[in-house]
Amino acid sequence: MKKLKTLLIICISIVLVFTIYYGTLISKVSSAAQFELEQISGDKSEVEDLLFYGSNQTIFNSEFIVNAKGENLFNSMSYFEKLNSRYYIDNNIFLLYKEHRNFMRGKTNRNSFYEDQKELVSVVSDPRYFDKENIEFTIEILNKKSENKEQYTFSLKNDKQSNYIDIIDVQKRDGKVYTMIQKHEVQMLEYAEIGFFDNFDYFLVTFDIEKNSIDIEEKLFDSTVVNKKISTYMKVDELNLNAASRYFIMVKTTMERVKEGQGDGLIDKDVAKEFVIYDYENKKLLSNSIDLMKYPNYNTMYYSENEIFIQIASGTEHKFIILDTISGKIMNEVDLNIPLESNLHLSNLEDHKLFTLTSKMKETGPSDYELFVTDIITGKQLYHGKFNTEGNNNMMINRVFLQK
Amino acid sequence: MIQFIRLLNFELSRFSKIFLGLISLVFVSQAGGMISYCYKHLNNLKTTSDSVKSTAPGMTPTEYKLDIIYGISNFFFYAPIAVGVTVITLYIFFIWYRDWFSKNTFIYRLLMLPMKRSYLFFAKALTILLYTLGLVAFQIINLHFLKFIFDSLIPEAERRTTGVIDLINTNVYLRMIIPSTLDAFVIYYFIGFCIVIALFTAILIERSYRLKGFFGAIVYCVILIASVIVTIIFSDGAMLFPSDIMVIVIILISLLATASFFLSNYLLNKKITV
Repeated sequence: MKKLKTLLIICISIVLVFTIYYGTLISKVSSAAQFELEQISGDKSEVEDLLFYGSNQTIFNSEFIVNAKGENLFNSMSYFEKLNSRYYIDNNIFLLYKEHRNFMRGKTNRNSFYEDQKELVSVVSDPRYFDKENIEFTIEILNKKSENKEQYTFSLKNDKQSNYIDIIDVQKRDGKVYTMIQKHEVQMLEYAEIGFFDNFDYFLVTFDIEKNSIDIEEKLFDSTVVNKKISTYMKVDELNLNAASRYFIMVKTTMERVKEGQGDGLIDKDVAKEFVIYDYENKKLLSNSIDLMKYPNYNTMYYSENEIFIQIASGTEHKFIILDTISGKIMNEVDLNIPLESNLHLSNLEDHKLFTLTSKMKETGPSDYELFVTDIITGKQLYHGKFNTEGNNNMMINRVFLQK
Repeated sequence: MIQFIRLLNFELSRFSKIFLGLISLVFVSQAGGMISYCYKHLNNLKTTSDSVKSTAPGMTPTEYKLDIIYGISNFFFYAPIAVGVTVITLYIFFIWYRDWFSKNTFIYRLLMLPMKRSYLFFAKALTILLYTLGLVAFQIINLHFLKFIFDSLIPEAERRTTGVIDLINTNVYLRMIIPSTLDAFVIYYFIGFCIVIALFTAILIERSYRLKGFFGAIVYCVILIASVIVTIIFSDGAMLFPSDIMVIVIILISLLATASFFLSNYLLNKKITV
């Protein structure tokens, strides 16, 4: 034994140090993201199926996805499964990943799916193309019953040599796959007195699966500069992202660059804000009479088949408005009963329930989270709770969603 | 087996003085750096805190406190780690070439030992692995000591209570050598061990064929690196999960390491010259 002194000292030291270190680490990480959701009012059953995704700012890689009890789903995962954590960030992707793991390989764009009772459709554009002559699209259709997958590839001429495209909506109707794409043109728009503006065009591409051809590439909207005013577009979130939808809705904002105060400072001021709607059924563009300038403080917006939902959360009001998509008529307006001093951190609307997470802003980031669950039809507050983090102010919650 | 253990102990003993030198350097430099940091900031604490206390509108002010995270972000902390990494990397080559170029051509005696020559290969490879882990283990111990210094010198009211685990996981360089999960630790050091095996094979190619072998060893390394890179690129293009790609890479590296070992064994038994 004495002759093997060096070997023994080194081996024992290594085993001891790493056992103690990783033993402590495992117990610490298991408690890193834990919190208690303390009920203040309402019904506890409203939050039983909720999941919170976020990260602990002091412990690297300590992303968490926890339920209302504070149990961390990441703790039971292997190193390999944790590598796939980008599939846990988004609710839509997370649910599809859980249900159709094999099909979801390489697919992380939340807007690129269509799902009905029979099929799950995915459209993927070649992520490696930059300024290529053609854009390659791969459409995969999964038969949910038989688990059989069909794959189709299409090539679309890249006339304007776009350097970036993004799929923002997918629908399937009458054997055709309708794909709304956002193209970033290489040429930027010259705008007002200084500089340039990113030039985005929005196209509808129709893939005919049976004929294996591309029917139409139709330009629907584009960023334009008229009289030194620029128009930009922002997609409104779909409430049921993968489900069949008759409409596709964007917010068109027209901005003007104006001088601010006495100095030389310039700011972009909104001069008009409206909805632009594409009707998949009649294949035409629509607009409604809603003047979005009336809601300057809106935070979150969703649309479903016939309704547009707007959440307003500012220092003066916390309310929720439901509008008719086409007429623009206010269908319902409810006060959310959230204290005015609370800052909206994030919110999510599922099954006609609004999950609002508020926080206080501190130097280290948002903290002192509170959760409000509100029925958006009656305006009744179903649950109010606060996160008890035992002094851990480094917890950042990025998403809240229902586990289905 | 006992022959292998004795040989391993012998190889470890040959590096022990250098290793002691390395851990002494780590200890002295990092402790000195931490003491210097603490005294410097203790003097400035009052004025610094006044300037940092000013907060943006709408934010709740929080008291400025010293954090050990910043206490290790200096030359005295990183320099000995860099020296350690460099010395161990160089020792991968030195552990073989020393036996050829020492006074009495020591490799001749090693190859004449009545045991499998693969023991020699593994004893040297394990020596590198054990000293690497030994150095990392000492770094973990020393971080606790640094925290002790920090906690002793900075009053409790003036410091944040960052633990050693948080300290490691918030530091990008420390995280490379001390991964944040046990399975990642095993995978990282397994890959490292495979790389050592591949480099040993390159050295044995050079020792077996001399000048031709030198170029052969370079080609061999290029082929190994290229095969891993090409696999990663193709796997990424094939739309796989990151976990799938990692599994493929680990399997590939294991296969390459196994092939490297068999090639090394062949060279040691049939081709090596003294």
